[in-house]
Amino acid sequence: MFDNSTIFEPLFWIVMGVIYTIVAISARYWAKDLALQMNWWKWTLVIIWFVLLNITIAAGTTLIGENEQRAGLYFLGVFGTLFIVLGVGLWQLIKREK
Amino acid sequence: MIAKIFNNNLFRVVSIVVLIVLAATAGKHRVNISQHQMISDLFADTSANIEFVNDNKWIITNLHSGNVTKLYIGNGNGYNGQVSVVFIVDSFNIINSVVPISQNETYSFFQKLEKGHFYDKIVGQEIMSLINFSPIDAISGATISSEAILQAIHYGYAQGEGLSIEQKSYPVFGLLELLIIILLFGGYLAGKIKNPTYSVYMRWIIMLIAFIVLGFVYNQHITLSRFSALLSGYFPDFYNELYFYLLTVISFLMLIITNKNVYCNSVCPFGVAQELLSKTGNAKPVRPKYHKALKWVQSFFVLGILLISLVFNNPSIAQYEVFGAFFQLTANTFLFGLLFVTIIISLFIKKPWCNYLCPIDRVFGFVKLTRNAIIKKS
Repeated sequence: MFDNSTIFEPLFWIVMGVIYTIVAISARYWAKDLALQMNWWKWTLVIIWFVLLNITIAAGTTLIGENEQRAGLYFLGVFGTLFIVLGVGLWQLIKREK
Repeated sequence: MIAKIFNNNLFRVVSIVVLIVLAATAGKHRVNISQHQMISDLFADTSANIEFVNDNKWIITNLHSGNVTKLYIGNGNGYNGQVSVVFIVDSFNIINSVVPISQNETYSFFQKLEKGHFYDKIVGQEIMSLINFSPIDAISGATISSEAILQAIHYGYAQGEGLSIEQKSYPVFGLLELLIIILLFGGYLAGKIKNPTYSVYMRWIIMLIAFIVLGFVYNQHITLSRFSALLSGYFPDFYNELYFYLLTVISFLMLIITNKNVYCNSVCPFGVAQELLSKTGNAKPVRPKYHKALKWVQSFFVLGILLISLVFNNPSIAQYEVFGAFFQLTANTFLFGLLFVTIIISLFIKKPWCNYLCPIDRVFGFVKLTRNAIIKKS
């Protein structure tokens, strides 16, 4: 990310780690606040979706960073859209299933 | 009084027809450089002597080396009209170069020929073996344009040399044509079944088949550019593109006879895509307060873009549908953006493209308007 900096590079990843930790810890409470009746398979689906969404963003932006703008934008466009759609579907599933 | 005239369906129909006829006539009268003039201009500053043989053939003699090559020009049937190709054949009857000089194909699809090195595959071929054995495969996703180029070479050479052109004596009726008939009649019958459960099941079966086969496998939709091409006087090859006539004529006839738009309701692959998205997001049908105004905007936009494409005699101007972007991942950046927005909105609002953006909805709307105006009058 910050190739020429010895400060920003580790700082960036520390901040990213903090954000991910907060997301992981607060997910339970967020589900509780929204009165979602979560169980093991719902959590599994949510985790798979979240990991794949992150991989999509990481892979797409890496391609753009490696001067493959066209491929990166295609990747983000196709898989990003797909994961938004899947996310909406997953949300409906989590809400509906008791 | 004026409001009454404007609200008269027959007045609207006649006005639209008059505008279309005027635009098509203007498009036809645009300056048209003759092929002879164009070839002469191409070689204006070269040291070559160009000898006109006939409308399709020129003999080019290099004044320095004395080499003699033959230049041909031919036309093939593309998606949005005729594709004109110039190609040069050397004294050993080997094709030296191929250049499309005039075409109205959709840019992103036509570009595939360049990217797929289609012209490079033609160069180096012996002309007669190319015509007789067709050793070159069409580029996937741009089949009609690829075949148009090969057809232009075939016709150009045959007409230039005074050879007879073998025409198909019967139209191609295959799986696609059969499927179109089944889907359209199946879609109509689904609406006729009295049991609502069976009716919904049947409609979904028809829609899913249309989505997969018409959308992903064949990428066949009714598009505005095709209507623009038809109104400009270009009729797709009946023998090779029977499916286009079946899809359009049966859809229109069903609308005229039954007053039901079966194509948009059950067969259009992108309509099905939106239905699937609306199921995913549990979208609700929304009819905003300004629904009528939006429909007017949609109608005027479609009419405007159709007229512009007719005036410029370029049907590809009228192709702003997102079908290619969705089913083939082939489109320009604007259409990809439009598709993205449509997909996201479709998750929350039922069929936004069909309701407010699709040009074909308005084409069917015009047919319906004409039908109702005539019925009311009679």
